[in-house]
Amino acid sequence: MKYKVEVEKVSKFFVNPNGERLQVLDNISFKVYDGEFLCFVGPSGCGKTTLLRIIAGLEKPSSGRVRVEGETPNPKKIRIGFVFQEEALFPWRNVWDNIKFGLEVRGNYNPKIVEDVVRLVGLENFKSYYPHQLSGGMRKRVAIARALAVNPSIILMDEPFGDLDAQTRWIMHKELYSIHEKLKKTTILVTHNVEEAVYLADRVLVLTRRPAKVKKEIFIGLERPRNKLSSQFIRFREEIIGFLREEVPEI
Amino acid sequence: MNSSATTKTTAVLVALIIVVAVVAGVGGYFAGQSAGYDAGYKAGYDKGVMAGGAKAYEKGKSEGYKAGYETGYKEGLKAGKPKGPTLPDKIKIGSLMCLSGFLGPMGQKIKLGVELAVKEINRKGGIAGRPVELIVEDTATDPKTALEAFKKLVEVDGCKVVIGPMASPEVMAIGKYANERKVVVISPTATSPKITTEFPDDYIFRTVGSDALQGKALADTALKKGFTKIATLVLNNPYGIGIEEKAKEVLGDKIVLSIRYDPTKMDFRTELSQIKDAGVEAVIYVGWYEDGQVMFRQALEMGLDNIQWIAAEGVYGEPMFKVADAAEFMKRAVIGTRPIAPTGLITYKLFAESFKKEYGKAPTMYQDTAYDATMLAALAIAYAGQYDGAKIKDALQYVSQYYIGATGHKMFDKNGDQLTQFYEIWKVEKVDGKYKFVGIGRWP
Amino acid sequence: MVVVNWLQVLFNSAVTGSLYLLAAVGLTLTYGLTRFPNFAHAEFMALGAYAGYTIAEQLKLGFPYSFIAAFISSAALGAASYLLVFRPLTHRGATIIHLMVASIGLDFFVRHLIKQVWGGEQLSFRMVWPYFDVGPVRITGLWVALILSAIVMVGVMHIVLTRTRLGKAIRASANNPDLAMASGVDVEKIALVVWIVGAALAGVGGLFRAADTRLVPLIGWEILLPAFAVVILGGIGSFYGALIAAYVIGLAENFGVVFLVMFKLSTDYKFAIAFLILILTLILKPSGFGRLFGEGGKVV
Ligand SMILES: Nc1ncnc2c1ncn2[C@@H]1O[C@H](COP(=O)(O)OP(=O)(O)O)[C@@H](O)[C@H]1O
Ligand SMILES: [Mg+2]
Repeated sequence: MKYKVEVEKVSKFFVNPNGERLQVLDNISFKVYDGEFLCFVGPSGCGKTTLLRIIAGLEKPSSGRVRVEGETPNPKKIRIGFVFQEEALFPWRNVWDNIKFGLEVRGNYNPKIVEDVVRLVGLENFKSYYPHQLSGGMRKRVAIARALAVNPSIILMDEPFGDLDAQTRWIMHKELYSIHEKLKKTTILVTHNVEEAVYLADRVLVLTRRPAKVKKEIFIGLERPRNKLSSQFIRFREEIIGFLREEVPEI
Repeated sequence: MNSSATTKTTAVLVALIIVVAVVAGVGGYFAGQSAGYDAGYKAGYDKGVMAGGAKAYEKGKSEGYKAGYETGYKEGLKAGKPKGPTLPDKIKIGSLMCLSGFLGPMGQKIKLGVELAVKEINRKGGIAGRPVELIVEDTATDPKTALEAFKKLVEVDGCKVVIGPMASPEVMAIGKYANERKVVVISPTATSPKITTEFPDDYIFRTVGSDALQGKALADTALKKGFTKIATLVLNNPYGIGIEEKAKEVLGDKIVLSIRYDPTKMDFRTELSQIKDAGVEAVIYVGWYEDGQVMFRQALEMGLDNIQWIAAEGVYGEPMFKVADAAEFMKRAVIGTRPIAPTGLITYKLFAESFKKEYGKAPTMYQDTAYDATMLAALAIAYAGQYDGAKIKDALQYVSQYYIGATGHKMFDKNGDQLTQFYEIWKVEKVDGKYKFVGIGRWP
Repeated sequence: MVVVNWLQVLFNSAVTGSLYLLAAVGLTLTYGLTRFPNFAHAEFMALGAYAGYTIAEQLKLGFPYSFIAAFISSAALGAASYLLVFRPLTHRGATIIHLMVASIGLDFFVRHLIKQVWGGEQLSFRMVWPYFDVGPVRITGLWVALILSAIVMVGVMHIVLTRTRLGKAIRASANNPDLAMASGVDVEKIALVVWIVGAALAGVGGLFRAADTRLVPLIGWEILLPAFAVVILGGIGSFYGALIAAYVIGLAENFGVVFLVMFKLSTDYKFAIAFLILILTLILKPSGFGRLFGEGGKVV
């Protein structure tokens, strides 16, 4: 199976509280290769989160279809690792217990697996900490570790570093890069931070304003680890920002 | 009640009993058509005197009264006729009753009093030959609903006279609107003194005494029993507060604890704990059926049946016995007051007979005042000769001076309140396994 | 001078708190899971009360049976509400507003059904509970039964929530349904369980309220407001938060009565006191008690 994820002609409508129909996704199609790191960039409110939720099976498309490993996505059957845009840890569970939750649910909790991902994200010394005792960056690590623990078919990340300061974000980019190098998990990451996309992605899809369509597909053919200051890097970055500016002239 | 006022009321009453025959000619008299009264009274009197002997005299007098009363009514109701053209073909009387909610069980009964009066009036040919149409609306024992229902009666049905509403807060809620729209309101049951102070000298009348009087009656009862440490536990509304304030005026320092409670809460344990801890000898209590049942049940559970409860008329009535605990508590620990008609009124007897004939059972509390309110309204419309709020209001003041109804002389003072009101002191007994209320005294 | 038997007030608070807890557990869990405040929860309480009444007073089977009847009938109503009304609506993309309005509609519908069956008139349990004094505190069998039911419920819920896979999934789903679902929890199945259990507990709460006071079709609405206060104060979706909040509000109301009487105010305001605490907590801790202890600690 060549494609890990296939999205075909997906559209999505919501009904507003005041009864109006709101189109969020407009006939979106794309495919994701096994092991690929794909990034979506798009103006905020265009429908990025909605798209990710549909791929995860948390939401159903209004029309079109999605396949993950050839099947309709359903988190009960297909293991996915979802890193939410907003803070999503269970406050009554410590780091360790948060990470093991997905394994517990599926009834295959194994301390060794948890130990491995804890080490992978560098939280060895914080296993028994509760979320409120951790910094923002560390909480993100816990969320990533939890997503990885279930050995997911795909990892979906929704603006995971949006609320971190620039320095921490920079560190997280590097860590995420090295994790991807190690595990080669198919990853779809949504962001409005173009630099992040160019640094991490094999391929970037630029989305239009709502309702979102795929406006442009850009392969980032740069060596890894990438240098954010190299001229090619900057060229890719500016090219993508240029496409985005057509959608949101203010940037 | 001070003694000069007592003497005055007594005097008025004595005078009334003497002139009862005159007043029995109610409508006829004031309409200048005393023919009915004359004929009736004379017939009875003659019959009695001619026959000689006290018994026959009594019988004759009673028959005379009855005849005079009947004729008087007829004439009185007919009196509108000369001015007739200005009366509508159908005369609407509105009524606001608590048919659901806290006072629902009571309202369902009181409505019968209003309906009986309307039936009698229509049987006698209506007002000046025009039938009375009664329109009853439910207030759900809720001031807001009462106002909505009142607006409906006034604006949609065009009523100029409304019997009710029952609860004091409801009367307070509609009072302003009634005055603005010049609609006569006669409540047969609202007893709060606040109604007097908020709406003096206007369109609001009532055929039951203000609780300024009942508060005194309750306080006097407590005094007479020699209690010196008393708590008040009352509904937090004009009805409860009115009585509480009056009782305090009379009892002063003897009241050591005052609690105003929310009837919807239904969890009264801590209120009752407070009373228990205060170590009082008696509780002056003002509640309604639904909260009263729960209050008494919880009071029994808290062991408060070893002190004397003295309750206002809100908890007087058979529905209280639906809760076994509450009934048992009342038997053990509760006495109370309730407004009643003066004893031995022939007019009450006539009303009770008519009621029994219509519904097959004896009338209970407030059906009589509801009946009187409706009769007064009809007579006032007849006397006014026009279906006009302002005219009916003036007529009502006038008519009331001569009206002796089921509950006695119903003369209004300038505030639209009753000049006098009598109270029965009651308790609860268990006879043959059934609870019932029995009278044990009177006030004043 | 006012003498106060504080122990009695404390005990009364436990009675009030236990009732609010039974009423609020289902409300908070369904709110967390299905993400809307379910006003029809009031009728889960009412149906339990009426079903219990029929068993105890009309069939004369005794209180234990009416307890079971309340539990089962309300559980069935909870299941039906979720399966026939709210789940289909969520599948059609209903928002919180739609769901809330639907729940109010369902509430009216069920209440009128109850009125049809049992009539709108007030009904009362005739059974008489034994009462006795423990030291200075007056206690009745009913109050003890109510407090015991709450304690047993808390014990069972605690074991289920912390020891079983189902319970862990419930707790997670009520706190963050998306996260739970993404982690592989069958949230709809969990939701069904929670609707059933929550409604059943509400039915039991309604039964106690009815036995303690009386039955009217609006009996559920009378405790819905304090139940919502418990939900908000405890943090939406939090069982342990609700546990603390229920007794805090119970204490506030009963001690409130004492102080209101001391200051010669109407005891109407005891609700106001409860809500004052609610508002203060929300200003200081917007997430409610669920996160009050140990700053997000172990309470949720
Ligand atoms: N459940 C929903 N119901 C109604 N509208 C929604 C819902 N979820 C998202 N939306 C709307 O869809 C649009 C896209 O949302 P989202 O996918 O979160 O955008 P992004 O993640 O790109 O910022 C927004 O306007 C949002 O208000
Ligand atoms: Mg988003």
